[in-house]
Amino acid sequence: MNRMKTRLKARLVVILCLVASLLYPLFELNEYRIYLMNIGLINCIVASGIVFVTGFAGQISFGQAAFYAIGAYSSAILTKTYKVPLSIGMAIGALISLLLGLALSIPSFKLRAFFLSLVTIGFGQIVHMILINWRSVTGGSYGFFGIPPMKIGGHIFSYGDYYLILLLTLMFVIFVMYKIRYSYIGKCMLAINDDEIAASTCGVNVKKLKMFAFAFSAVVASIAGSIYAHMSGFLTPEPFSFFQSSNFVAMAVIGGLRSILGGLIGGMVLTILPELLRLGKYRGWENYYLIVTSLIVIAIVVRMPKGLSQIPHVLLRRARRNVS
Amino acid sequence: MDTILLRTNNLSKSFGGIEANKSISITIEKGKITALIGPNGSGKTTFINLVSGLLRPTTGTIVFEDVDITNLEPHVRALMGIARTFQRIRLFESLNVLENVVIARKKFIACGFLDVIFHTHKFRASEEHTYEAAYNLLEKLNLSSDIDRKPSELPYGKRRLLEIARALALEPKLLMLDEPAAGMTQLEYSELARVLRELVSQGITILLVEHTMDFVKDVADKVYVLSFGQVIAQGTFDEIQHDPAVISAYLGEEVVT
Repeated sequence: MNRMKTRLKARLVVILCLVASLLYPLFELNEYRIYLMNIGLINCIVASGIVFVTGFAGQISFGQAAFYAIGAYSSAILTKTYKVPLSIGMAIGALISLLLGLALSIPSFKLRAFFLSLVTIGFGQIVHMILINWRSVTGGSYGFFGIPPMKIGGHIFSYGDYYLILLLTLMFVIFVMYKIRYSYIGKCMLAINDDEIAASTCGVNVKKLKMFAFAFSAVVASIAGSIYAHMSGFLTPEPFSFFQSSNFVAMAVIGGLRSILGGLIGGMVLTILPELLRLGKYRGWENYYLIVTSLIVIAIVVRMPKGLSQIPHVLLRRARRNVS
Repeated sequence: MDTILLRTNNLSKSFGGIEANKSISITIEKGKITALIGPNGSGKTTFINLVSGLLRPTTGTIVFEDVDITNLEPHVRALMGIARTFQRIRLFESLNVLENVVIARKKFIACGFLDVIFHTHKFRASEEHTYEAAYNLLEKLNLSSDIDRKPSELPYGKRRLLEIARALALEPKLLMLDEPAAGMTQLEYSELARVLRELVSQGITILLVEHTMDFVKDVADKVYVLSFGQVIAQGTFDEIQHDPAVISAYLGEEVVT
């Protein structure tokens, strides 16, 4: 009986959070803050993909910014240069990422940990170099301008509209991850994470699941990239560097690699934290905010190796103990 | 011919200059317990790794039920009915005991990705069925009281047993056990021997790699002796027991003065 009650309560809390987050842009008048939230949501989506491939399937990827870039640039180039409809541009970007994600999973059949992360870093660098040097198509370091915004009918999307699109995308990604995590597919992924050799002798198709995990995280990052491109209207190669890739990984780690909400929590915290130090109440840290952010990140990693997503679990356990 | 489940033809495996298996030709008969014994480093585990597909042979072939499986992936061989345990126990530590067994039931799960996402009736039914089968198996091995625990919380003997349960969940035709009696007490031996005999009576063929001679003597129908990667003797336990080659492999050559 008690268990049912706590489950009901948990469900209520989730629904309330969802409704509150859906209504947020109606009550927020500051455009910049909504824009910041949108960037946060984009980070959450990409970081959730890392939770899937690294936390669930155990395959390290330091190349997520590359898929993010592929989504952004494919969509931008197709819609602007080739006048392709926006949804098709996004789909083609996702398809390219899917294929490259599958290709990137091939080294993971043989390589582990450090060696695999080196391959993914290399892949990220190659994509970054292409963005900078293939000027006739990508605009190079000067950037790619004039990307058409999203619109429905004649209505051009505001930041609030992008917020809704991003939030729904994130919710969908987390929903799919949740379903997979608690099915036999998710358990097989955890088994691979624990012991690949034992998993293969139990009849688990290790290669297929790795390909699936890489492809999923690549497509997710690509879609986030496409939305980013249409929202910001111009692209430069700079935010798609290795620095951004490692930032995404940091988000997933801070949030909790093994947790479904790890990407959501880590993405938001690492987007908002630097801004809080730069603006807001704690203003005055302008020159140091990156240093302070890094120190806080280190503190979280040391104090909470399972990530911030452990906090609700701990609170819930305490609440249960109080009840019983 | 029909009585042979698995045969290897001149199977060899070298690691650099070291030949871990040299031209091994072995037949495993259906419904029997075949034992593979030999001193440390004689290539017993390498042989199991070759048959389960974790290693690829340098030369030679492996035939399972008249199918050449030499170049098949490990998971394909597992699904064909070749299961194994490991010398150093390898369980999935982040899953609980029941889930460890469920992993190996994958071939009995008849639903796809979309069933999972949309939580279809088919998915729920197959999930329920899988857990039930896994539970029944654990119950048979007296592990059903531990289903919610993590493998690391179990005592050594139960961890061994859980690994065997996981291998059995594949409903294998051939079960390969890599030193199952290592570190067990006399009492646990006889329990394990009872389990093995029961499995054989259910039609499972067993390949046993073992150090403990008393145990091999108890259960094995046929014994192959390996030394430095080669088969040096074969036969029933009594036959190989007095073989001079076997004695010298285990105890060293007699010193002639």
